[in-house]
Amino acid sequence: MTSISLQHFLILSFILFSLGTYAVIVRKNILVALIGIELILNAANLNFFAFSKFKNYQFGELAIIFVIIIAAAEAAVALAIFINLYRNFASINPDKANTMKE
Amino acid sequence: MNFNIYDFSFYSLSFFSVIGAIGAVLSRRIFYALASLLLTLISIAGIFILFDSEFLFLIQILIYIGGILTLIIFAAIFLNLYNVYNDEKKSFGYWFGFLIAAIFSSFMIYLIYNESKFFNIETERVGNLISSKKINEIGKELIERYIALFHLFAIFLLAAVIASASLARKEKN
Amino acid sequence: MATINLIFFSIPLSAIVGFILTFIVPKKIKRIYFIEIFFSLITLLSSLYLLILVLSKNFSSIHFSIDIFKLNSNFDLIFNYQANKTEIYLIFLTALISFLVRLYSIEYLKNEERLKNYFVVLSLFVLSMYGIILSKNLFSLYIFWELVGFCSYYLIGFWRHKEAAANAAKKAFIVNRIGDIGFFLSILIFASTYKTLDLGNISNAIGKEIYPFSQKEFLFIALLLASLGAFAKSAQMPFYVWLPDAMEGPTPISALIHAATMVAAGVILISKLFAISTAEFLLIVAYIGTITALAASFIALSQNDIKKILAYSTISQLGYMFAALGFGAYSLALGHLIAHAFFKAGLFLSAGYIIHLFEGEQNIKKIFIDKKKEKILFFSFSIFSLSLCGFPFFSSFLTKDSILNFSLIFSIENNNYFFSASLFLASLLTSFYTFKLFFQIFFNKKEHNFLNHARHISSDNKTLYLAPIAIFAVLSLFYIFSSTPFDVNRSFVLNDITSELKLLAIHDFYYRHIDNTKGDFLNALDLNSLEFNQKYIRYHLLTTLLSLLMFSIGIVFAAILYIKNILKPEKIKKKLFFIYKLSEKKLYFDELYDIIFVDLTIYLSRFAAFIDKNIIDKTIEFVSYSTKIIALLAKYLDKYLIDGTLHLIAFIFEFLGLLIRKIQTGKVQTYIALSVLIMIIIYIFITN
Repeated sequence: MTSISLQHFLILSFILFSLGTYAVIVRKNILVALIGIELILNAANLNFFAFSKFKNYQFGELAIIFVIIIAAAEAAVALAIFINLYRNFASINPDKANTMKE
Repeated sequence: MNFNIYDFSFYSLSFFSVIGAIGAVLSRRIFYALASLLLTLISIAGIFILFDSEFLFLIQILIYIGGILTLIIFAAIFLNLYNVYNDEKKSFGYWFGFLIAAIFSSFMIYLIYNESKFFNIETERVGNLISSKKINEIGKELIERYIALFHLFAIFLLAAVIASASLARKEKN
Repeated sequence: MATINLIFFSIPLSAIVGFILTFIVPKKIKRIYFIEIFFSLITLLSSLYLLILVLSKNFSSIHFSIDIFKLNSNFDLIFNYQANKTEIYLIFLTALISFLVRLYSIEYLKNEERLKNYFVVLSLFVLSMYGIILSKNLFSLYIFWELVGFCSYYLIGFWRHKEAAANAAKKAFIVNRIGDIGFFLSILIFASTYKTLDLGNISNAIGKEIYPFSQKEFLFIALLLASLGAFAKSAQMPFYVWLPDAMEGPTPISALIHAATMVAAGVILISKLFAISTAEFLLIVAYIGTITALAASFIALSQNDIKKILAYSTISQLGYMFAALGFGAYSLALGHLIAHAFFKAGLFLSAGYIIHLFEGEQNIKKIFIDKKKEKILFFSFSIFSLSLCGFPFFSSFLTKDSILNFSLIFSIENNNYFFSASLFLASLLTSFYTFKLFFQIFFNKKEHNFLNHARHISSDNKTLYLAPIAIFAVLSLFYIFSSTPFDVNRSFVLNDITSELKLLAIHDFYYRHIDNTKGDFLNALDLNSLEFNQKYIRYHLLTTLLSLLMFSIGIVFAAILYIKNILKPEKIKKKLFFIYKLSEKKLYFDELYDIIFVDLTIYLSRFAAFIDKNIIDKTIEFVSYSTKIIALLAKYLDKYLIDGTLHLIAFIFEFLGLLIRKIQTGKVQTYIALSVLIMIIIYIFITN
C-alpha cells in the first residue's frame, strides 16, 4: 500500500534527534534546551513506533505511552527547576548558572 | 507513478515536522520556537494517525501539546520572556557540536542504509502493516500485564507533581 | 757487694729524686735550693766513697742495664750502663764541681726571682751528665746528649729579658743541633749494620771485621759523623762560635757547663768510640784538635772581656784533649780533662766574683783589684793561671806536658811537624793571654782610678763565693794526680785510665789495626812497646825544656806590655794591625757563617717569595679565573638548558592542564555534549 519503509522513519527520527541534540547542546537558552529535549523524546517515540509497526514489536506502543508520561513529568520538574534557576541567577542563559571560580 | 496518498501524507507530514523542528531550534524568540514546536508535534501526531494508531495520536495531542507545550508557554509567560531576543555568539562549543554532528550523522546514515548488513534483519516493505492496538486493548494490556509499571508511573507522576510544586515555591524571607 | 751497688745507685737515684722534688715543690717556698744541695751532697759523698774504693784498688766495675725492648733477633734496645774506674773519676768530677757550683749559685743568684727554674734545669743537666758518662749504649748516650744540649740552651738564655742572651742560647742550640745530626746519622749506620747499639757488642763485631756495608771506609764515615757531634758540643773548629756567646749566661753556669762538664762531653764521646776508631779517623781528630788549640789561643790574645778570654782558653784546652786522643793518648786526654775541669771552673768562679765586685763590669781594661784586699782571690787566681799554662808543680803540667811530648814523637815519626809546632806555639800564646789577664787585673793600676775596687762586700756572704774557689785552687795542685810532680808514669789516675783501655774488648783489634797501617802516612804509635817508652823518655826532657821556654816567653811579653808599660800595647796593635784585627774578629768566622748561612737563606727565601708571588699566585689566579668562566658557562647552561627543560615540561603540563581544565566549564551544555560524544563513541564501538 505504501512504499514507506522502516528507513524513512529512521531517517526522520534521526533528523529530529540530531536537531534536538543541537538545541540542547548549543543553544544558550534553557527553554530552547527544553524544546530540544522534547524533540529528542519525540524522535525516540517515532523510532519506537516504526519498529513496533514494521517488526511486530508488541511493546512498542506501550513504550510510547510511557515515554510520553515521563516526558510530561520531566517537563514539569524541569520548568520548576528553570524558575528556580531564573530566580537565583537572573538569567535564562545556562552559562550564567555557573558558580565555578573564574 | 501513482499518486499515493499515504506517501504524500507521510512526506508532507515529515517535511512539516522537520521544518517545525528547525524553526524550534533556530529561532531567536522563544515564542516563535514554541510555535514551531507546536507544528512539529502536530505533524508527528499526524504520522501516528496515518499509521492507524488513534490512541497514540490522541495522547500525543492531549499530553504533548495540551500539557507540555502549554506548560512551557506558561513558563515563558511567567518568566516574562516576551521581548527577549537571544543574541548568541558562535562559541567553541558550537563548532565542536557541529563536528560531532557531522561524524554522527554520517555514521547513522551509513548504518541506516546498510541496516541489513549490520543487524541481519530482513527489511520489509510495508505491505502488511501490523495493525495497531485499539484503545480498549491498550487499556486491557496495561491493567493485566503491566500493572506494576502502571502503578509505578502513577507514583512517579505524583512525585513529579510534588517535586515541581515544591521546587517552584517562592520562599518567604 | 750489695753496699757498693747501693752506694752506686744512690748517685743516679738521688740526682733523679732531687730533680723531681725541685720540680714539684711550689715556687714560693724560700730556700728551695736546699733540696738540691742535700741531694747533690748525697751524690758527692757516694761518689767520694766509690773514688776511695778505686784509689785503694778495691773496685770492680759495675754494670746495670735497662731493657727497653727486644725485637726477636733483629734489633734490641737495651740501655747498658757501665761504671769502670774511668767513669768513677768522671762522676766524682761532675759531682764535686756541680756541688760547689750550686753553693756558689746560691749566693750569686740570691736576688733572682726564677731561682727554682734555675735549679731544676741545673739538676736535670747534672743528671744527664751522669747519663752520658755512664751509658754504654749509643742511643741512651744520644738521649742524654740532647738533654744536656737543651739544659745548656735554657741556662744560657736564663736571663730572658736580655736579647743578647736569647740570641746566644739560640746560636748554641742550633750549632749543637748541627753536630747532633751527624751523631744521629752515625747511630743509624751503626744500628742498621750491627743490629745493636751497645758499644761493647759493636766493638766485638768490628773485632771480627764486620764493617758497615762491608767496607772499612764506612766505619770511618760513621765515626766522622759521630765526631761531628763531639766537635759541635766541645766547640772545636769550625763549630766553636757558640761558646764565646754563651758567656751571656750566669757565671756559675759558665763554670759548670762550659768549662768543666758539657764541653767535655765531646771528649767523652770520642773516648768511648776510641776502641773502634780507625787510624784515619784519629788523624782527623788530631788535626781538628790542633787547629782549634792554635786558633782559639790566637783569638784570645785580643779579647778584653774576662769571660771571653776564659771561653777561648776553654776551646783551646779542649783542642789539646782532642789532639791527645788523635795521637792515641787516651788516658792523657781524659787526665787533662779532669785537671782542666778543676782549674777552669775555679777561674770562672773567680771571674764571677770579680764581676760581682765591679757590679757587672767585665772589661779587664777597667778593672783593678788590690791584691792585699782580696788575698784568697789573688792566690787562687795565680794558682789557676799557672796551672792553665802548664807550669810544673801544678796539675795540668803532667798532662799537658805529656801531650806535648806525644805530639813531638808523633810529628817526628810521621815527618809532619805541624802538630808539634802548633801545640807548642799554642802553649806560648796560652801563657801570654793568661798572664795578660792576670796582670791586667791585679798589677795594672788603671789611670784615673777607673772603678778601682769599687765595692767592699761586707753584707754579702763571701764564704759561699770564696770557698769553692779555694777548693778548686787546692785541686789544681799536683797532688791529686800523682805522687811526684814530674813523672806522669807514676800518676795513679792515668794508670787507672790506661789500664781500662786494656780491658776494652777491642784492644787487640786496635793494636793489630795500627800495625797494619805502618808504612802509611799515619805511623802509629804502639803505646806499650818498649821502643815507644824509650822514645818517650828521650824526648821528654826536650819537651819540658821547650814548654818552659814557651811559658817564659809568654809571661815576659805579658809583663812587658801590661805591668811596666815599657811597650805600649797600642803601638804593637798598630804595627800588627792586620793580625790583631784577625784575632779580634775571631778569625771572621762569625761573619763567614753570617754570609753563608744567614744571607744565603734570606736570598733564597726572597727568591722563593718572588716565585711564589708571581708564578704560583698568578697560576692560582688563572685557575680561579678559568673557574669563574666555567662557572659562568655552567650558569647559562643551567639557566637556559636545564631550567629551560624544566620550564618546558612545566609548560607542557600547564598547557595540558589548561586544556583539560576546559572540560570543567561548569556549564551544563558542555557536559551534555561530552556525554553525547562518549555515547556515540560507545555506540560505534558496539556496532563495530
